[in-house]
Amino acid sequence: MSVSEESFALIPLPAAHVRAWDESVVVYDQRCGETHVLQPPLIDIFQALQAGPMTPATLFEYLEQRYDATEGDLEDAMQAGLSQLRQHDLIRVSPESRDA
Amino acid sequence: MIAHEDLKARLRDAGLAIQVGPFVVRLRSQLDRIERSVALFYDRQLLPVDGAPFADFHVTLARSSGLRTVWRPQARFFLDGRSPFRPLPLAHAYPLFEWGLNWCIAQHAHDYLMVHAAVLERDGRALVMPGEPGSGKSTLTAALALSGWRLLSDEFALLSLETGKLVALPRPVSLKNAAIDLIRERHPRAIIGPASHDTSKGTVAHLKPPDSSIDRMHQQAGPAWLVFPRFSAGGSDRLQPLDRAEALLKLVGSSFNYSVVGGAGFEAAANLIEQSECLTLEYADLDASLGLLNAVAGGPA
Amino acid sequence: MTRPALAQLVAVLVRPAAARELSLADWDLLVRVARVASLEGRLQATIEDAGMLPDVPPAPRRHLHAARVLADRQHAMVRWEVARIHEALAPEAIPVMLLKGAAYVMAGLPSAPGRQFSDVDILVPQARIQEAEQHLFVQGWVCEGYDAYDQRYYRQWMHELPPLTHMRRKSVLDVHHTILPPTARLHPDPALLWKAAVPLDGFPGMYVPGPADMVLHSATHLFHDGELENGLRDLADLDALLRHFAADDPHFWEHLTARSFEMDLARPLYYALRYGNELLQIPVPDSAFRALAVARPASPLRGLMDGLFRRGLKPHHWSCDGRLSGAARWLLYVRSHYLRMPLHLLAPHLMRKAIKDHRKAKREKSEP
Repeated sequence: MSVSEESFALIPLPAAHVRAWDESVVVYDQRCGETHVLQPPLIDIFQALQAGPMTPATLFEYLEQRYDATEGDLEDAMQAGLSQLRQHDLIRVSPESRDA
Repeated sequence: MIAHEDLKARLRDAGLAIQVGPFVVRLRSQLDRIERSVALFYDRQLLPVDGAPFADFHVTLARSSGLRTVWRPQARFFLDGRSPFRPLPLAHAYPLFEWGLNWCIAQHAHDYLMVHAAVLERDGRALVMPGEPGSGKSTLTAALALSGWRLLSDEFALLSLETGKLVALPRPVSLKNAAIDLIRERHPRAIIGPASHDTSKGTVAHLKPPDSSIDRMHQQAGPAWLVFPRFSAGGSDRLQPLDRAEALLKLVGSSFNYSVVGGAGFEAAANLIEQSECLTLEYADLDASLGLLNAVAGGPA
Repeated sequence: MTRPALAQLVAVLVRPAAARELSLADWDLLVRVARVASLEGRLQATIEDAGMLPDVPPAPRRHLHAARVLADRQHAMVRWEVARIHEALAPEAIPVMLLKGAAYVMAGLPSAPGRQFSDVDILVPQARIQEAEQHLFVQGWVCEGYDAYDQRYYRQWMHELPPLTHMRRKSVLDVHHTILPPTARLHPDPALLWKAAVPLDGFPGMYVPGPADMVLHSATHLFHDGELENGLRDLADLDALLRHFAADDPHFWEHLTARSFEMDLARPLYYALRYGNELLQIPVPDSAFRALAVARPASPLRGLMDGLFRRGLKPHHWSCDGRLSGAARWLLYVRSHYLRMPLHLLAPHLMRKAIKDHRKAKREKSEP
C-alpha cells in the first residue's frame, strides 16, 4: 500500500467492547462513552477494517465480493458507510491521522 | 429480632443499622411513621448495636422546621447532614426514605451496573425485568415473589461488575393504585403496609418481601432472562424474542450509572445479554402473563 | 481544635501507612469527611500508590473505589473534550493553554489521579477570544442558560466568556483570557504566562502552564477566587505539584518565589504555603518563607486571615465545624468577590446573586 494514498483505519478497540450479534455489531467507545449499534453495510466495512487499514479501492473490492449490487450503488453505500463511521469517530483517515 | 422499644430508642439516638443487601444503612428518625414502617418491613434486617461499626449511608428523616410547617408538616431526607432534595408532606415520610435510599445507592455504588429493573430468581437463574412506570412491572414482581420466585429487587437491579451476577437488594415492593387491592385479594396473607395517598405516583403501599427472599439476600444469581414488560389493556398476553442489540440499548438506557462505569459497564451489560434469553412481554392479564413467565422458566414454580 | 476524622484523613494523605491503624469506626467518619472535601478519589490514589489498598477493609474500600471509578471516567471525558477543542481551534492556529484539572490530566501530573472535576478550563489570548468562541460554537459549544445580566457580568467584569456547554455532550467549557479578572487588584500578566508555557505532546498548538505558573494559578484560584468549599482538596493538589516539581528541579523553590513576585501573585502563594504547610504538612523550605516575607499581610490582618482560613479551609462537614465556621466562610466569600470586583459593583451583584441562587435552588432541587 502506498503511503501517500488515503486509507481508512479503525480506532483501536478492546475485543470485549465489540460484540457481533445476529444482524448487528455493538461497539462501545470508551474514549467518549458512546455505544454504537452498526447494521449492514456498516458491519461489513467495520469487519473488513478489523483486519487492518484499507484504501477505498481494496475496501470496494472486499464489499463487491459480498454484495450483489451495481458498482454505483455499492460505491454510494460504501461512501455513506464510511462517513457514518467517521461521524462516530470509529475510523481514522491516514496519513492525516490524529490521536484522540 | 429486637423489641419495639429498643428499636425506637436506637432510631432516636445513635441510629438503627439495617442490612439492605450489600449495604448497611444507619437510620435516625424521631418520626412515628418511619418507626412503624421500619419495624414492619425491616425487622429481619436489623443489625445488632455493635454489629455495624461502618455504615454505607447515614440517613436521617426529620420533620422540616419553619413556621409554614406548623400547619403543613413536612419530612426531610438527610444524607450525612446534607439534604439533597425537597421535603415532602409528613405523611409521605416512609416513601421519601425509600426514594432517598435509591438516590444514595445510585450516587455511590459504582461497583455495580445499576439498572431500574426488577430481579427475581428461580433455581439459581435470574429474571431481569426493566420497565417504565405503568408497565405493570411491580404487579408482576409482587405476584411472582408471592408464588415461588425469590425476590432480589423490585426496582433496583445490581449487576456486580466483579462477578457478572445479580445481587439482591431486598426492600419492600412499592405497589401503586389498583395493584394494591389486586395483590391483597390474591394473597390475603401478604404483609402490606398502610397506603400513602397523593404522592406523585398516586396511592402507594408497600409489600414486605417474603422471609425466604430476605434470608437469602447474600446469594447472587446468574442472569438467564431479560424481559421488557409492556402493559397493554385489553390486549393479549405474549412473549416475543427481542433483538439483542436493541435489548442492550434498552437495558443501558434504564441504567443509573452506565455513563460512569464505562467499559466495565458495557462488558457486564453485554455479558448479561449473551447469557440471557431476551424477550418482550405484552401484559394484559396477570394470570396469563405469570403462566408465560413460569413456562419460560420450566413450568409452574 | 482539629477533630479526629480530619486529623486522620490528613494523616493518611501524608503517610498512607497510617491507614493500617484505622478501625472500621474510624473509616466510618473518615470516608464521609473525605467525600465532602472531594478527596475520596485522591485518598484512593494515594493509598493505591503506596500499595496499601489490601489493608483497607472492604466496606470503606468500596466507597474509595467508586470515587476512583468516577474520577477515571471524568478524566477519559476530559481527554475526549481536549481532543475536540484541539480539532476546533488548531486549524485556526488559535493557541490554547489548558488550566487546572485538564492540565493535570493531559500532562500526566501526580495531582491528577483520583481528582474529580467536570469542567474544562482553557486560556486563549485575549485578541483571539471572540474568534475562539465562534469556532467552538460551530463545533457545538454554546452559551446556554445565562440571561443578559449574567452574560454581561461574565463578559464585562469577569475574566471569561460565560461557561459554554456542548449541545450534545453537555460538557462545560470555561474559556479565559487571563487567570484573574481585569477588575481584580492583582494583575498577573498573561503574556508572561504564555512565554513560560509548555507545549503539550501530541497536540500541536496546545500548552500547559510552566511548573511555577501552575502552582501559582492553583494558589490564586484557592486564595483569591474564594472557592474554599474544596480548600483541602486544592491544597492536596498543591502538595502533589510542589513535591513533583521540586524533585524535578533543585532550583524550583527559588524560581517559584521569584516568579510569584514577577506575576504579582506573591500574596496568594504565601497563603498557600503557610496553610498548606500547616494543614497538610507540605514540605516548604525556610528559604521560601524568607523570600515571601515581604508578601505577608501586616500582623493584625495576618491574625484575622489565619482565623478565617483555618476555619474556611476545613472540609464543610459537621464533624469539622466549629462555632465560627459558617461566619468565616461567608466573610471569605465576600472577600473573594471584593478582590475580584470594584466595591460599587459588588453589593448589587451579591444581592442579585443571592436572589437568583435562591430561586435556582428552589427550581433545581430534585423532585422525589
